[in-house]
Amino acid sequence: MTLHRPWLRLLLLTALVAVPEEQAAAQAGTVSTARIVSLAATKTGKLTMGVISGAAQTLGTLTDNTTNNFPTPVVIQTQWDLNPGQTGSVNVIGWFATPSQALTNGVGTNIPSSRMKGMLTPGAPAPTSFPATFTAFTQNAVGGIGTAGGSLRLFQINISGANKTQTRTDNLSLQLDLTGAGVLPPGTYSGTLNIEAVTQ
Amino acid sequence: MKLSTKGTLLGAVAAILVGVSPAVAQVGLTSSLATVNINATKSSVLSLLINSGGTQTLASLTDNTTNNFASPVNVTTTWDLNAGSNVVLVGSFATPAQALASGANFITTQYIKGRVTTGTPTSYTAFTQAGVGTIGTAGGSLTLFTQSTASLAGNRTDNLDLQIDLTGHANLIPGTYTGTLNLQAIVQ
Repeated sequence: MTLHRPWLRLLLLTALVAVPEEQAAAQAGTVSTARIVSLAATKTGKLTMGVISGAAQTLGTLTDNTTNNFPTPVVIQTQWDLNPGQTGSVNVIGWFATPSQALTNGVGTNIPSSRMKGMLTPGAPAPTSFPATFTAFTQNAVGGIGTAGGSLRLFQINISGANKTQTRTDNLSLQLDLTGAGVLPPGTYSGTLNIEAVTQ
Repeated sequence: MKLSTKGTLLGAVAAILVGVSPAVAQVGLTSSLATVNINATKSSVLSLLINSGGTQTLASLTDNTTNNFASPVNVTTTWDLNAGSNVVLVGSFATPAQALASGANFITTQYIKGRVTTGTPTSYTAFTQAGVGTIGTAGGSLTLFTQSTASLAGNRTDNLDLQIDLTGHANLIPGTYTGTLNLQAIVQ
């Protein structure tokens, strides 16, 4: 078909130009479905505990019916980095796996954990609570750490903004109290004291 | 923007969850386990104590008869053991032929007698026995008691009476005869 009339030619051209412009105007402002990207960055709380010295406690002369102090303390270092809004306290627990056999001579004679006592000489700042005098390992577990009747909470420190990050060193003195116990057969009595920290 | 009821509820739940979950993570946080090895040794005990009579004196020694010392040797023996059947107390002279001496004159152990009324020789018996284990001397010893250690810990106190029996002995040359009686206990 040949367009003979100039005015008709102009009208068609205008129409062709106008159509693409209308489509462009319709696509501007069109949005896709929203998609989300989840971001998560976690800083985990840190709680470490170690025995700096005194991991081998030896008492060369054990005497019946009296208290027997081990000569040097167990030096414990505890370190944490915690969120005070999410942690109530840090606790360090000492315990014997089998309270009725805290120490044994290997031939049938046992010393129960009620005869083993611990006393903490704390570093600064002082804990919220700790055994300031020799106290038997006869407490229960704390936060799942320890054994029933064979444990001793060595310290509890409430966590706040002021102490959310801390490294502390404490001395644990041990005593074997045979006061009132029967006469022990001579021999070497051995055992293992477990120490672990837990938050509550 | 207007939030629907459903959207508001979901937002609230999400906010609560965001606040709670980290708290759970920090309670119950534990350190690694540390251990302390404990060793306590009680030594065996076998001790002997002379409570009295550590010096025995006989002022007047008479030939050809028995001469009793005036007071006994009072001895306490204490034991605390983890093995063994008996505790044996032995008295002995180092040189049986010279139990007592006055210069070059001697009284042999054959003439020195002892008894422990609560022990083994309940009547006077000469120090002429053999040693026991590693203690005592051959022909110059006397077992004073043998104590069962069925009870592994215990003690006992005994009186050892001493006598110089010069019956049948030639007349002694006058002088002061001195010597040392050794007492020692052993576990067997």
